[in-house]
Amino acid sequence: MFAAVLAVAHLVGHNARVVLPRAKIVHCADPVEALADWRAAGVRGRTLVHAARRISLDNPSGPATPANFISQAVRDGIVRRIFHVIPSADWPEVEHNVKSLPGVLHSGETYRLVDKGMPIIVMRLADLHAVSESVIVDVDVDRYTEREVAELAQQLRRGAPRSDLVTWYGRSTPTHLEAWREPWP
Amino acid sequence: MSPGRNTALAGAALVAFALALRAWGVADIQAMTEDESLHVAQAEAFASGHGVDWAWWSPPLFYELLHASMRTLGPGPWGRRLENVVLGAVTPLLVALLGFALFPDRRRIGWFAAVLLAADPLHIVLSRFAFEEIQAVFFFVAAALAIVYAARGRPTLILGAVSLGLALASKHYFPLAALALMVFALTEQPPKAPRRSVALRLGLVAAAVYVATYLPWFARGYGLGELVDFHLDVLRVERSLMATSFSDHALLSASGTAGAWFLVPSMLAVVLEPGQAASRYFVLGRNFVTWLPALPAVACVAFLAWRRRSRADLFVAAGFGMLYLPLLLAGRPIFIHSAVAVLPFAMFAVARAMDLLLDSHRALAITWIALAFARLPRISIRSRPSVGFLKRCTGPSSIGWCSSTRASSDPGRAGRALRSHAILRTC
Repeated sequence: MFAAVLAVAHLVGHNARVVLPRAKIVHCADPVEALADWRAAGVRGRTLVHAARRISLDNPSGPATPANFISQAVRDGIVRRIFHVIPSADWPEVEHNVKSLPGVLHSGETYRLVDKGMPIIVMRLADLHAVSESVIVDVDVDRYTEREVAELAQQLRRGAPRSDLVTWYGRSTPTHLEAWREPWP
Repeated sequence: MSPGRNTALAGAALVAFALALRAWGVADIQAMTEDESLHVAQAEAFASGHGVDWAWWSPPLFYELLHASMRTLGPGPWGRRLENVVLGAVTPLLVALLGFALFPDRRRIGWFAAVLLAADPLHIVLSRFAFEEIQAVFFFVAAALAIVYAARGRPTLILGAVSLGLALASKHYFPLAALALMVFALTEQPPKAPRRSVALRLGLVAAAVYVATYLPWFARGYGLGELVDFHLDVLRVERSLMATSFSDHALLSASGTAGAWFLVPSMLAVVLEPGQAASRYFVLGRNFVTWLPALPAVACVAFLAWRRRSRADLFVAAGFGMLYLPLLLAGRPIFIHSAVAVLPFAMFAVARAMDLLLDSHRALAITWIALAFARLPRISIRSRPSVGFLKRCTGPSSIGWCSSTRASSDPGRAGRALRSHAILRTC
């Protein structure tokens, strides 16, 4: 009986994740458009690699904004877990803030915290590694140096982590623009 | 009339008594109490596998059943409260049956414990609203009863395991007590029952039921490994909580630590609906005549368990200890609602002490029992006690549930409370 319940639970969880059959990369005007793209793509139950300074988990009620677009994605079942990749320039401040929070797990150079039961792993780009599943990615290129943006693109193209939907936004245009264009591996 | 028929009739009367105390006027307050609005929001979130602030760490079953109840009966007071009314009324009967099974030669222990629980002000008030504790305690007592029956050779082990899983999935009070139940099941099995099989069936079925209650959470895409991580998060965050972490920390602080629950004769009255002509209070009362002797009674039962090698007494003392210990170790104030988790075993200990005293000091025992029971029916059926009545609650017994009282005759502290949500602490 226990094995059967575990099998059912595994299947329910696995089947709840909707992954795109063909990977794609999208340039958006802003984060709200990224959310619209996730909705249009129909992805669900996913791990999000959120490369930006802010976590954007404000109250999800009302229209989507840059401050709440991720909490809307969580509410709508699109995102279940977040890897929050902090720009190097912001890391000292973020690390200081995170350390002051109660109930945070510090492991290596990453911090695990929980919002309403949803895990958020706060890390630097250097600590982003492959995970056992394909992820969706959103990148605020304005917050990163050109070198970091290029590194992130390289890392994603290497499949560390694998991603089937990458959305990027920002006023600046990455120098290595070809790295942020399809075909996406 | 046969003894079995007498017992059945008395059991039915017990349930009717408990039901009347919990159901009568339960819809008088149509609006959600403060905690109910929280729990209803949680029910909606948990049904889709989501968590909410200040409750995401709770196991999901209470909220799932609350959601199902509201979908079936509507979002009104009955939809929110019927489950607790019913389970709260049936729990005393399970306590009586557990008492009969543990002390077959002294059945009055079961009856005493059952009636004390049926008429306990705190158990009554929580049974009349949507709180997790009533359901959790119902399932745990059901599990204890089924496991004790199984130890006596009845085919109820799986039922006990299912109930244990449901208790664990209702509130995080029971891990240590569940271990104690498992040890009891292993050491008390009939000679032919293979111990390994008993342990496996009990542990795995309870675990399976527990995991199954997380299916809405899995439906968000989570995997089995993440369930383990989630529970590590729960442990870490629960351990990091302090009194000041809670938004309602005034009520929390007034509740005191678990160590004070059975030592300090106090009660809490929270203003629910302040008004000019009348106000409604949410009164978390206690029956001091049974609560204050609880710890000495547990010590007495533990002594008996050691002195007489009495398994039944050990069961009661260990049950109380394993439920009370984690609450004591929290080291911070805990909402008084959590005391309901230990009440059945506390009442067992008190009932056992009453039983012993009846043998040795009959007059004293009868006085104690009379004090414990005398005012309870009047207290419990009174839905609109006066301020004078609230004041009299400083006496040997405490009071029942939400009440109305006239603003003009409110004491000073209550008068201030009328203008803003506040807490009255009496005694």
